[in-house]
Amino acid sequence: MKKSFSLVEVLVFITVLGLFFTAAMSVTTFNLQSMKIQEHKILATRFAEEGIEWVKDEKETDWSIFILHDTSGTGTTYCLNSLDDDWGTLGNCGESYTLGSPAFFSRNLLIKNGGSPVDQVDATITVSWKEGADIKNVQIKSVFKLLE
Amino acid sequence: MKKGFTLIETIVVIAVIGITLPILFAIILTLMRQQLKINRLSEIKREGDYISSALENTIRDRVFSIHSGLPVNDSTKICEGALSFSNPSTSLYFLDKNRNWFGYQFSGNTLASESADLVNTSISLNSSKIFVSNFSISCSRNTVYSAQSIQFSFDVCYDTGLPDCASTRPEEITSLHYQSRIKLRNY
Repeated sequence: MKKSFSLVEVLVFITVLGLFFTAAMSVTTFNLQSMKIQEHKILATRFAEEGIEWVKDEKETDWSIFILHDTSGTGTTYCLNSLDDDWGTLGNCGESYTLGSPAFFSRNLLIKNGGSPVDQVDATITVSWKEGADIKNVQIKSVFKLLE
Repeated sequence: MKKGFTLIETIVVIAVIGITLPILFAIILTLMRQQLKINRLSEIKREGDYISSALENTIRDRVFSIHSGLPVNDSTKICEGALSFSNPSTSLYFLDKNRNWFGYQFSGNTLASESADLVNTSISLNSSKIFVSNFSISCSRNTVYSAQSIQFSFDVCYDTGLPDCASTRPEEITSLHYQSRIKLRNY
């Protein structure tokens, strides 16, 4: 008599194998995704640090010019995708992700004067990028004082 | 009684394995490549951060006077008067409060630290796997009474075996840019 597998046995086997492969695939996909996010986070952190360094540079150059960049008292936003001496463009970067190579980061600077006369400036750099449908952020805050 | 696999069964099994294995290897390869990229990126970030903070802390706290080259004496002194600045160069030397000299020199792909204590030698700030490029350092001063400031910038990239960290695969290139300006504390 020829011995062989019954249909039920084969079905059970294929189901178990299918479940296993699906699980393995989803773990791998998740892994790959979080690795990509990690990579982008490293780059974004560097861009944020670079932004803070640039603000510090502006502060060290001339305090009296530096404090003119926020006259609202409630904070002013600049889009610092490129670090020129002319403070990028006023207002949020919005959808312009032009920082980095390949370019898909945006860098916003929120600057807020404190004290009267101004003796302290709060700066917040936010680097954002699109990860699929989500928008991810890396934020660095720093306080600049007149005397330091 | 017949025993063993038929030809059809064997062919089917081989076909299934033939389809599954390449997919599996492709996935593993992608994962490994991504892992390698992150490793390189975090490595250059680590070294770049180190160089940047080492330069910042030493220069901020120790520099007393700035010199364009060796020997470090009054004739090589720069950035002393009001509204003075120097052109970006690849090396700058300093004297600290105890009149000991030290400095940074960039050549090839390495940024090296030199000082009076290290006779005829220099200490490389980056490891051999990581290249520093486009290093420039300069100083400036607004008035005679204000502190001088030193600005530097450089790129770090991971050695790919080709010059200037170039690679035939663009996704293999990992490079980060650093720049900073430091105001002296003990001038």
